[in-house]
Amino acid sequence: MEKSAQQLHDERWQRVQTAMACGIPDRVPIPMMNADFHARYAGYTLGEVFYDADKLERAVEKTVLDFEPDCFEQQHTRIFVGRQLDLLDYGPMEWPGGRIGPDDAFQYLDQEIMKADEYDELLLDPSWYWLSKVIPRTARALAPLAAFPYPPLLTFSGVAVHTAAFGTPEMKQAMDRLHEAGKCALETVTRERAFIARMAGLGFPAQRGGALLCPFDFVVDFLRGGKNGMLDMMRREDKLQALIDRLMKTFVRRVVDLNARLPNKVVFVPLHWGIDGFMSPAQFKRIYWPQLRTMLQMLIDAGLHPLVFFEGNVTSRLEIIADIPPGKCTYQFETTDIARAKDVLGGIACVRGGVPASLLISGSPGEVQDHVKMLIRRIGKDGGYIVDGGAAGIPREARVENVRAMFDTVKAYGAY
Amino acid sequence: MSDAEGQRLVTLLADMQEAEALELARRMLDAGFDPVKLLGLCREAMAIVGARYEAQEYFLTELMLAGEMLTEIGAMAKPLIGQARDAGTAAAAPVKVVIGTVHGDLHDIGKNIVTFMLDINGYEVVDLGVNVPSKAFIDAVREHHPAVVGLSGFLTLAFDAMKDTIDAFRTAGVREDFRVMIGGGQVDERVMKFAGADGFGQNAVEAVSLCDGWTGRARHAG
Repeated sequence: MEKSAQQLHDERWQRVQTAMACGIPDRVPIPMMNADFHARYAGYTLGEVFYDADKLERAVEKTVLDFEPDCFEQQHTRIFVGRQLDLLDYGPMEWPGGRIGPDDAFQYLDQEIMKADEYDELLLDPSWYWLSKVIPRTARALAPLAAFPYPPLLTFSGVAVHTAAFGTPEMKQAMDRLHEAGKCALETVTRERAFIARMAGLGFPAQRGGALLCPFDFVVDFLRGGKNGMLDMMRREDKLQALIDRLMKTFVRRVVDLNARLPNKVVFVPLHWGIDGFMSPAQFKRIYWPQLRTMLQMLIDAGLHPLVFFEGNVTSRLEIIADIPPGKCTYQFETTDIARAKDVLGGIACVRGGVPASLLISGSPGEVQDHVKMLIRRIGKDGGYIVDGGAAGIPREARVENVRAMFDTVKAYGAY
Repeated sequence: MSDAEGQRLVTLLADMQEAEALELARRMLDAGFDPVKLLGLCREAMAIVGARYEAQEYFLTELMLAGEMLTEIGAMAKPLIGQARDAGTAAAAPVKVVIGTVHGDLHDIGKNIVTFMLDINGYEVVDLGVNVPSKAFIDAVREHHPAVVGLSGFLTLAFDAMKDTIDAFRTAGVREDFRVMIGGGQVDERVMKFAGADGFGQNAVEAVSLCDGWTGRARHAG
């Protein structure tokens, strides 16, 4: 008898969950995670999926139904954001259909939002700093928020004085824009929720609930910029450390609580500044890993499963990141030596990845098949392994026949 | 001004003592130290930094700080050079490298580090910046006649852009005039073949080795 969509859904999710707990499932799982491959596959420009939720959903649905992965990455909150970004005139980003061409890849721009001499100001009152400095500097349509009155002033007779800041035409315009952007955001999250439910009904589970950056990457990405963040490690590591500690106590705690309320207990944790070549092993051990480890432990303690995505290459750090409770984390890799990763992490963290971007883009289906067979034999041995492409999943430029070969090989040869 | 002070500047720079190094450089220039010689000392210090990077004692953060110190001292010294004697240090014409991040990609950390390492190893680097169209590369090679062109890219879309750029060199009839190296992100041997490049590197040290190999230069000349 043919299996129902519900049975297939549960079977797939069980397969993924078993591997993520370092166990041996019925077959090596394979997710559909991709950086805009779905748009190209479905015949849309990136700009179209950035602005049109119908097209985005058709693209993701077609990709999922055609390749039948064991789980899939939802895309709305990453991709269906063009209108919000336009309305807010969001500065540190280029996106297709916005300031760049309709088929150009979106890119986060490395900018200094917080000045080097503002650490103390931020440390003194992070929320206030964020409201009156970070938001006006990043979302240019919200620049008038720089005049936002200090919230404790808005009490008793203070409301007669300090609410004056809201009376200006500039503030009204900013608030109107915020409302418009908020309506778009509401549509994005509502549609994503409905889409996940619809795909579950078709037999395909979403791969995660929420997402969370580690504090070091958060500071460097959104406040100091890459170059300044690296220089701060040399010039003012004590301040950087103090800010990271502060974020651990406030921001991280809050986001962990938010994630714990979501039904899907997998939390995506993308990492990028701690990789080989960017910081020394000593710096990694001092200012990156201890805080990241504490954060992962907080997620685990809240009943969540961190899906930690190590961008780039972290081969030299495998022994350090192996210090984590066994069976509670998945480590997804890009160019890290996947065989070494399995040797060091086997039985401790589920290993995910292994199919290089270059192979999917410029290799042949035969080469992909040979490589994936090797991965199943070598990395899949004893379970705890998920096959995936090596560029935040499948790269946008991957040849369709290569992606097909990757999925077919896993299904034909991946059974335990 | 004593040699000991010059040697101390080299040590401070190589040991990443930014504040002390900048203060000493300022004091030396104020006391009339030859700015061209001072920049020579900086180059000596940067060679030590480069060697420590290759030995994996230093990492990206040290290279970035070294670059910052060099820029600061350059800004102090260069305006004084016109007033100083011509040191006559420009002997042999340096080997040129044209470098840039290919079109569609805005990432530059890796490219800047390669530029820094090539520069301190005695190459003259023409850095075209990020999101560089093929035509800008062609214009640059026609103007500068480099021995090597370096194409950088972090995103996977850069694979196609590298190939486009190298194809454009061929169409323009300049492909045989120089070697092409690629690097950044997920670039590997397969991407090198796909794009039609002559070599690839996974870090700045490999980029310098490629250039040294192609141009027959000894390491740390210059």
